[in-house]
Amino acid sequence: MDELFNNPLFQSALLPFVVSLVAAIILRPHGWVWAGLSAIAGFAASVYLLTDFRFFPLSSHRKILLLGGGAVVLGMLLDLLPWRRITPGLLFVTAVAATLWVIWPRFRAFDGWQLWALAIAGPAYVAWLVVASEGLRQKSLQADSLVFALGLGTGLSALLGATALYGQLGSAIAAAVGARLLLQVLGKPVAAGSVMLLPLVSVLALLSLGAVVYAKLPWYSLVLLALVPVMARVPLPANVPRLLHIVATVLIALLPATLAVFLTWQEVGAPPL
Amino acid sequence: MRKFCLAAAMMASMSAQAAESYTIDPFHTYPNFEINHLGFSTMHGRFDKTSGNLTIDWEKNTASVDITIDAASVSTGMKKRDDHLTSPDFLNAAEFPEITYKSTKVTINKDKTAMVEGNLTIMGVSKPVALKVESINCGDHPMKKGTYVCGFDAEGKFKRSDFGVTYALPAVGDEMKLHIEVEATRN
Repeated sequence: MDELFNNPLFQSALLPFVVSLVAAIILRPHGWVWAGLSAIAGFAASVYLLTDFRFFPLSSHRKILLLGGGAVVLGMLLDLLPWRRITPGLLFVTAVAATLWVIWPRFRAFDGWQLWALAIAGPAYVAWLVVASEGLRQKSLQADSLVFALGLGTGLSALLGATALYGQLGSAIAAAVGARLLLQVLGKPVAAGSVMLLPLVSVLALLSLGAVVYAKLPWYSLVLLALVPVMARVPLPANVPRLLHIVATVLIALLPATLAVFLTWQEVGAPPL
Repeated sequence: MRKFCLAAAMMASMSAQAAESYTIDPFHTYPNFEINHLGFSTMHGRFDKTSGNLTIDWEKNTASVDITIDAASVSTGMKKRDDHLTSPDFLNAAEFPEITYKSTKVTINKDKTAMVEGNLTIMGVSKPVALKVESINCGDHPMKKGTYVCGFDAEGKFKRSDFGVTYALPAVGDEMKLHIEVEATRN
């Protein structure tokens, strides 16, 4: 049993997929607010196996996971309360503050333009992903496609960029949302909401930024990953068959993510095993 | 009274001289480690940059050691693996750039072996780790006139999981053997 629990494929693919699928089937009838928690449950199961829910010493990945936990609460509040007018501003400020907290230890290593580039571009990247994805909270297919593509792009890029833990965490999110996409294919879409989008996109944005700042992920991978919310919004003709519509939406969202993985692989090669 | 003061001052001076202070020679001080790789073999590596100080009190047969290791200087002979070892998966060198070892108690035996008790700090977590010193060898440096050097080899072991370095457990071993070769010049 220990061997199974320690298998990376089980930890970051099979377990989050199954837990998310079961949770989605249970929560789907409860609809808005609760259904989005299905992917969170799948990801949380993976986090438990990967980290034992240990939060000390407070390193970057632990900060990211703590922020993800806080984002679940904030996302739930955004779904429950009529705060739509202030939401973009609130998310922008929160994302910038959260990013600065995660990358702060790295500031002492830089000076000059590199310091400013990190201090401005890092928070801008995270804030862009968080605010841009929030607009898809009521569109479950686009939301699922966005998180799936971002998760796969972040996970595989981070794995190649020499931080397998970040890679596994990103892949776990892709697997958890993959279960929701399966239900989309079966004609049983599950509502997303801020409760799903905010924590998962925040975690993925911070993981990919962390992989640049704390490991060897090339910075230009982030430029490509930042295009995922744009691609997830590409409109398709209304008369396209449902299955083709789902596949096309996912594939279009995956385009920049796949390119990011490819360019990372070109730059750094295969991961050391 | 004057004689007593003079004697006391002389004794204090001798005591101060007995505790000699040394600066670690970074070109001849390397912490090496061993770790089991997937149950197949033992992988060796070392840290290339180390600094620190030590004091030795020959009269009291005691000493103190304070070593700082640059976590990013880990070297296993393969750059890609070294990048992985410095990443958040293992040492997280960008966030925790220093690994330190500070002694809390050192006992020097008559045969020049010694037992060092101290705290090893990795990724901000401090745990007691004991080091066994084989033989403390001191003398004038044969190629640097006027330089007095002490050197020794120390060995110890610890579990990386105790310091929160849990990635790839249990496939990559938990127990790490530490072997430090130290040379220091007297100040």
